[in-house]
Amino acid sequence: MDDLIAKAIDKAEKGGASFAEVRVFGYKYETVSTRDGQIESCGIYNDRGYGIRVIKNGAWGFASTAVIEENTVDEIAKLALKEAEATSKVQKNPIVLTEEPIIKDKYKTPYKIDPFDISIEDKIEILKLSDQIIMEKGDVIKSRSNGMSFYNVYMDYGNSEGTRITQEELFTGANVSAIAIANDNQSRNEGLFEMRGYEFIDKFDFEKTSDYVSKEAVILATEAQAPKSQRTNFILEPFQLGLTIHESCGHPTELDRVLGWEADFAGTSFLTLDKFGSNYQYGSDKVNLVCDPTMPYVLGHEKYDHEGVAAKKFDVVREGIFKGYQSDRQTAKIVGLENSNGNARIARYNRVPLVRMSNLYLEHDPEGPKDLDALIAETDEGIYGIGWKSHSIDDKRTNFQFAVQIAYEIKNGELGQPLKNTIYQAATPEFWGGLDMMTQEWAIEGLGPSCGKGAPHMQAMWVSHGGPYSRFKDVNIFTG
Amino acid sequence: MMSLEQQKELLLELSEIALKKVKNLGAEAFVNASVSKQFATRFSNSEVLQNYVDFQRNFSLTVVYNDKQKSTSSTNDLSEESILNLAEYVTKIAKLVPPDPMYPGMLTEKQQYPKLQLNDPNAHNIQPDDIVDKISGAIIAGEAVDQKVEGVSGNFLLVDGYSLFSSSSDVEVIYPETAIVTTLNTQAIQGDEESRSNSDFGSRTFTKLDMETESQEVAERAVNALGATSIEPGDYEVVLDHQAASTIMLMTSMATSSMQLISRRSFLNDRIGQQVFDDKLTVINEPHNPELLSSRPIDDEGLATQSFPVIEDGVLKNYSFSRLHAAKLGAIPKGCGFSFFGRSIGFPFASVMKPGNKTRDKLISEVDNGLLVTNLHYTNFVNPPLGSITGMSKDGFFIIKNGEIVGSAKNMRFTDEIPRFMKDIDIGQELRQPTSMMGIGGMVAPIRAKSFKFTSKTEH
Repeated sequence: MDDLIAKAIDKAEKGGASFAEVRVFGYKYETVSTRDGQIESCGIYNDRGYGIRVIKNGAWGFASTAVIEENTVDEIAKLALKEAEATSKVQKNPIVLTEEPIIKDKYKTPYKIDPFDISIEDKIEILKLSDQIIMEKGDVIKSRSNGMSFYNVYMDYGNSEGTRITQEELFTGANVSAIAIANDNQSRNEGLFEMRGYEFIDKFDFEKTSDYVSKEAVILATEAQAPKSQRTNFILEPFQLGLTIHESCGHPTELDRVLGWEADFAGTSFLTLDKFGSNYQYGSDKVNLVCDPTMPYVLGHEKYDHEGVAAKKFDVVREGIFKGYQSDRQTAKIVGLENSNGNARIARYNRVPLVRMSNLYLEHDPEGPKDLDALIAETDEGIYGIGWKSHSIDDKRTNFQFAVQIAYEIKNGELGQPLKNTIYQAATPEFWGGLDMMTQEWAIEGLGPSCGKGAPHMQAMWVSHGGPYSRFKDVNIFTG
Repeated sequence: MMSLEQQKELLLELSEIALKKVKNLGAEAFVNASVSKQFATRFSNSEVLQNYVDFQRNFSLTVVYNDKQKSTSSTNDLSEESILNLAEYVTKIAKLVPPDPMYPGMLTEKQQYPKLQLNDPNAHNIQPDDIVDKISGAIIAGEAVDQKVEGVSGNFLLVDGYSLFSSSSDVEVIYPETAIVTTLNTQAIQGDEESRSNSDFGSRTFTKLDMETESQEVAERAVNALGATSIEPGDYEVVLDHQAASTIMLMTSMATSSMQLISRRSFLNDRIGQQVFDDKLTVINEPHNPELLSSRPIDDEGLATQSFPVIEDGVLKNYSFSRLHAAKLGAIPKGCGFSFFGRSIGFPFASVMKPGNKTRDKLISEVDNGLLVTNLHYTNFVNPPLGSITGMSKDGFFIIKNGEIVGSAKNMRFTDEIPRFMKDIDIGQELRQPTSMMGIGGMVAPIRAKSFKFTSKTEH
């Protein structure tokens, strides 16, 4: 791709661009899934192309095509320049980017087994066994589904500053779901992703996961009670903690949202610029929220972002104090940062980069209870919530309301009655201000390509979050 | 680069090649494919952030073997070699997957596809300058409304191209389509206080897209939303303006999808013929209405689209089925199959609400003590079998006293059950088409609901 990239940059510069970047980007996605014992989907989806983004007369222009051939470069570059020229007529503030190191590198995320080498028959066999395990739980199970998915994402990036990067990511996901109907109609599911190859299918363990998912679906439909409305201690496991981080910390610290660039769709942020550097108290002094895409194997892992900036670990919240935004080269420059934090990402070749989450998590407490059992033993009364069921948050990311799939009462340091339809609602700083205990044990969970952002073309991004089992005090719990 | 017309011919040629190849391999197949030119713009704080252009293409092939085995894959590489490889691969997989005894096989019944005018013949000639001029006009018009208007934000998308369905059962339908969708979001500021208002709208014809008038209305609403006071959560009478009503109708439509029936998670399960809603609510799926951006002659499974009532006088009349779901549930599909990554669900993607005979202002005038809700944000099901949903008010939340808007309120969260609050409603007479991100259209009128539960509040 070097020739195409070089030609495109040359063409853009000769056409008056002060900056040009080219992304050859594509993915191969395989999905195999079943519903109620029958194959629901089984196939491969290929999407690839390249895009040229230029700055001319201080304005951005972008054009793309699915035809990755050198003979298309002249026209695509010309169109990108034409878009920039049109924009520049109304541009008030010229685009300026942070200066970043020039990088020349090739990187491939590590994996053991290429999932695209595994036969469809083998994959279906695993899903059939999983389905059988769910079905064995009896007539109360009314609907069953499961699946696995594999993504190979590659990017060849080059810009007019001299950066050239080839990056290839491989990630795998698996999911199981059961719906049980008896006294109530209830669902339970588990779906996880990691930046690994087919070896993740073993780690996910369809047999074990199918067993507990279906057992808990039955418990929910037959014996679980709705919780009474109360304010109490609330413990979250790493996945649901991760979703809570995603919505209440991840999105409000995206710098493009803060600048109002997402107001038309996703919303803005309560973490306005005046709170940056002002020791704003985001949560209790136990809250250390860190963005670290350099961590291998987690779904948000990457070595470089999609503007060619090296991924880095940085604090978003440290000891409860708001410390930093997620940014790209343009937004970082606007607020006076020396460098981008490396959060520019695209979901397809024909999309412009946006500020996106990668791997954002809550640091564990090395002096906290060892594990979940120890944390529950430390809790006189409260509720332990597991798994995502429903989520909603306001446009500034302060008022959220999430429901968990299954919960358990905690009494005198022990788990008790299973609970269904358990909802927690809070204001973001109040909720994080209540974090009072965390385990040493921690996990990062991949949410899959499910974070939607950007209009008019929504881009679904793969992200990971998590942390320790975490206890929040005085949380508003109710049912619905 | 090929023109759209040339790409249309290419799609026809490649679909023929793919279907022939699959036939030679002993299977049947159908193709869903599209090519389009897309102009997009993101703008914020009265500045254009990014203009871009893309040539979108997709070729999806579904192979059916022995009538019961099915596989789908797709590519956007429209070379002959790529399409032949695709045909070979998908056929191989279709032969490997276990048969689904309920799959109805290839569609063989002859269909009558309507001829619809769904494109703007002049769209091919639109240039980036034309789009920037239109957006600039909207920004200038919004800013001119009041000095308190701080900035106009939004996005714009024009899609112009062709969609194709063809099958080895001798079906070949290709039609041109143009859709323009846009959003305006305007910020007003007074002292330390900020407010915003929003509008999603669209058109099939570029020259008919009146962004200036809409921008003025949005700006006026943003200015009027300044000075918001905090009110207590509780049960309020509300007027749900077009965008808010559109969210409620989208959630209701989701509950009529065969996907929700198959998974047993719909609050409308087993309720055909029942009076679930107020008798003032009638919703028709009208996929031949040219004004609807989601109208089309054919669904993703090759069935001719057709009009049918979803809800009539408050009585649930029809679910929407894919062919497989219809076979499983003993129903007849009505051309509302919607496919993604090999899965097909039924969805009433072109629903139109029957308007009432009262203006929106009249609906407001009949409220003694309530709220006008412009827009709902991040609405999700809490408990689908109950129809329980939650979300936030956004972009203009106004207090109504004695039939008049007397001020603006700080946003609140609602959590309520659709079949409860839609049981006592009135419908306005002005139909509009708020566009959605999901490509699912709908024309709605404002809804006045006698009781709507707000459960918590915010500071903005």
